[in-house]
Amino acid sequence: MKMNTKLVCAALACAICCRGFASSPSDLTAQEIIARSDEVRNPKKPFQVTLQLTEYIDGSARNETALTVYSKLGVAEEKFRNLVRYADPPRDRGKSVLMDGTLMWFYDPSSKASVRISPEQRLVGQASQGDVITVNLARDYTAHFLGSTEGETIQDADRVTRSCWHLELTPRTTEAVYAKAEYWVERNSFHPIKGKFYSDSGRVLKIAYYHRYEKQLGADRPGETIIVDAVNAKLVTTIDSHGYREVDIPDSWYQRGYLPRLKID
Amino acid sequence: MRQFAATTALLLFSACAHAAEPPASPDPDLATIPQAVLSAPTPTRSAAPVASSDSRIFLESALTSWSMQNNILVPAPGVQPTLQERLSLDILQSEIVTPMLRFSFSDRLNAFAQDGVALSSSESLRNDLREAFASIEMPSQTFIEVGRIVLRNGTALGYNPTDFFRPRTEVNLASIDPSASRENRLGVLMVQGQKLFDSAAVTVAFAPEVQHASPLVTVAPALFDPRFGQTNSSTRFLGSVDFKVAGLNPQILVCQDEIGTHFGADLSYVVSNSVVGYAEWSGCDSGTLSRRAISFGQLTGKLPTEIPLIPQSSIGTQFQNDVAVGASWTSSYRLTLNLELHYHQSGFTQTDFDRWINLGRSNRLAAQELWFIREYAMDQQEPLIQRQVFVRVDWQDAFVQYLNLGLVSFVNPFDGSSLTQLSAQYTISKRWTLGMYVGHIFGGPKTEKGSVPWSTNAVFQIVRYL
Repeated sequence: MKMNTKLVCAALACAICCRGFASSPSDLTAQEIIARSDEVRNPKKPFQVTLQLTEYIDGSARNETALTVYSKLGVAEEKFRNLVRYADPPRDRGKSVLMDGTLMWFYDPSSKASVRISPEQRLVGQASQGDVITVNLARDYTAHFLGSTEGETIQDADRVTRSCWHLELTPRTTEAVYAKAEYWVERNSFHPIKGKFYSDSGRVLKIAYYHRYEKQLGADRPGETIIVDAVNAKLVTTIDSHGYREVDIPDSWYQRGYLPRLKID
Repeated sequence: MRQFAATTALLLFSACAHAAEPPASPDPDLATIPQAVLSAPTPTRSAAPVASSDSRIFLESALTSWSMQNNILVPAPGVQPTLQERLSLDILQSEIVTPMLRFSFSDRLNAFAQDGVALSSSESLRNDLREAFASIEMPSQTFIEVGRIVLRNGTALGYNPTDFFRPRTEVNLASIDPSASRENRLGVLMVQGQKLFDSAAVTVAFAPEVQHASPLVTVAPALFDPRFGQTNSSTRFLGSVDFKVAGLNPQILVCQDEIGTHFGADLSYVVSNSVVGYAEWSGCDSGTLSRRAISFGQLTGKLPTEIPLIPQSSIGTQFQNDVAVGASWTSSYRLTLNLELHYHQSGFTQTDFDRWINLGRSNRLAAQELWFIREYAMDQQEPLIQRQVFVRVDWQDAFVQYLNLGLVSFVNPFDGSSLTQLSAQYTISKRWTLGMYVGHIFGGPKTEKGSVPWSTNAVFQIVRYL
C-alpha cells in the first residue's frame, strides 16, 4: 500500500509536470499576457517596417498600398510613436502621417500642406494601419480572462488548432480606439492569434487574424494580419509586414516640421 | 498490483488527455475570410525600404466648360473662354545623391486648347517649374536648401494668413480650373535653413529680388519663363519657430517684405476624438486692398499715375489683421467637415463693395480699373471681402468603395452669395482616376460672388499615373 501510494504520487507528479510542460504558467495575469503579446508584435527598439496592404472586395484583390512605418516606443507613455509614409500607389506616394499621441499631422507633397488631424480622421486613411499594427494594447486596455484561465482552443487563419487564452479588453485610457475587444493569445508563445474589436454600441467593427509568423528582429512576429471589416462584409484587408530594420529614430522626427523631409533611405 | 497499474494508467491517461489539444469548435468568423485571401501568394514586396529616388509622374486631361451670365453690372475685361481642354504632364521627383544631399524637382507642362487660342500658337503651351532645389543635411538635424522652393505655412484650409510666400504663386489665373489650382503653385527662389530640436523647429528663409515686378498675367507667358517677376520681385526674409506645448503645436512667424514687417502665429488643438480646432493670425502695417492694388498697377504700368477711383473709404495705412479660425469634425463614416471663418481687415466692407458696384455701373470706363483690384486680390490669393465663411466636406468611400465626394464653398456672410463646388473622384485602378467638378455661383448681380462673368463651370478630369 505504501508502495502504491508512492507510485500514485509519482504518477500524479508526472501528470502535473506533463501538463506544466504542455502549457505556460497559469499564474500569469491577463494584463501580463496582453503585455507579452504586445511584445510579439512590436520590437522594443526603434524600428522601420514596410506594410503591404491588399484590399479584397468580394474576394478579389482590388487595391494595394505600401507604407513605410518608423516606430519608436515613447519612454514616458509606453506608447508607440509612428511616422508613416506612403510608398505606393503612385497617387499617394510621398504622403506622410505623424501619429504621436494626440499630435497627428497629415502632409501632402502635392500641396506642401500639413493638416492637423483628429484620432477619428486618422482612421480614414490607410496610414492608420501603421497604428493598428503597433498599438500597445496593454497600455490602452485592461484585460480580463473570458471563461477559464486555462484558455480554450481555436483555429487560426490557416485552420490550425491553437490553445489560446481568451481575453476581454476594456478601455483604460481615452486613446483606446475601440469600446471593447476580444483577444486570443496562444499559450506558451504569446502569439496573438485573433482579435475582435467592438464599437460603443456593441457592434463588431473588425476581426483580425495574425498568422504566417516569421523571424523578424530576433523574434517570431506575424508576417501577415488579415482584417475582416465586419461593417462592410465585402471588404477584407491583408497586411503583409516585412523589411523590419532596427533604425535610429531621433525624437526630432516626431513633429510637423519634419514630415516634408521624411524620405525612405 | 493490478489495482495500482490500473490507477496509474488512468491517471496518466487523464493527465495526457487533459494536456492534448481538444478539437477546436468551428469558428464562424473564419468563414468571413474569402478563400482567395488565404490562397493568395505572399505579396510582391516591391516597395523595398531602400531607394535612391522617389517620383510621382502623371498625365492629366481636364476638359472645362463655363456657362456665362449676361447680366453682370460691372463689365469684366478680357474674354472668358467657354470651353478649354488642358493636357498636363506632372512630375514630382526626388533624388538622393548622397545620404546628405538630395535634389528635388517639381514641374508641370501644360498644353491648352480653348476658344480663341489655336493649338499651334505659343499660348497653347506653358511650363510651370514649381520647384528645383538642393537639400543638404548637416549634422545634428540641420537642413539647408537652395533653389526654387514652395514654402507654405498655416493650418487653415480656405485661407492662410501666415502663408507669407503665397502672393503671386498661383499659376492658373487664366483658367479657374479648380482641380488644378490647389496643387499647382510656383515656388520662390530662396535659401532656406531649418534646425530641428526634439520638440521644436526653427526655420529661416531669404528670398532675393531677381526681377522687377511683372504685371498681372493677361497673356500667356513664354513656354519656359520661370516667372521670377511674380515670385521674386522683392527681397523677403522669413523666420519661424514651431514647438509642442500643451497639445497646441503653435507656430510663430515674422516676415519682412516690401510692404513691411508681418507678424503671424497659428495653433491647433485636438478638442475631442473627432474634432480639431485651429486658428491662424497675421498682422502688418499696410494699406487697404485697393490702395495696394492701385500702387501695384501704377508700378507695373497697368494703371495711370493720376489718382484713379478708389472704392474703399479707408485710404490710409494702419495695422491690418488677418485671421482664420476653424474646426474639423470627422464622423465614423469617413466624412470630414471643415468650417472656417476668415477675417481680412484690409479687404472690402460690404459698403465698399456696394460702392465698387455703383462706381462700375455709373462709369463703365472705370470698370477695367475696378476689375483690376479684384484680379490683384486673386493674384495675391487674398479674399476680396473682409469676412468670409468657408465650408469643406470630404467624404471618402462614399456609398461605394473608392468613390470620394467633396464640397467646397466660399460664402459672403453679408450678401449670402457663394462660390460652391461639388466634386466626385473615383479611383478606377492603381493608375487611373476619374474626377468631376461642378462649380456654381449663388447670388444676384449685385452680390460679391454673383458679379463675376460666369455662373457655372464643370470639369471632367482623367488622371493616369505612370
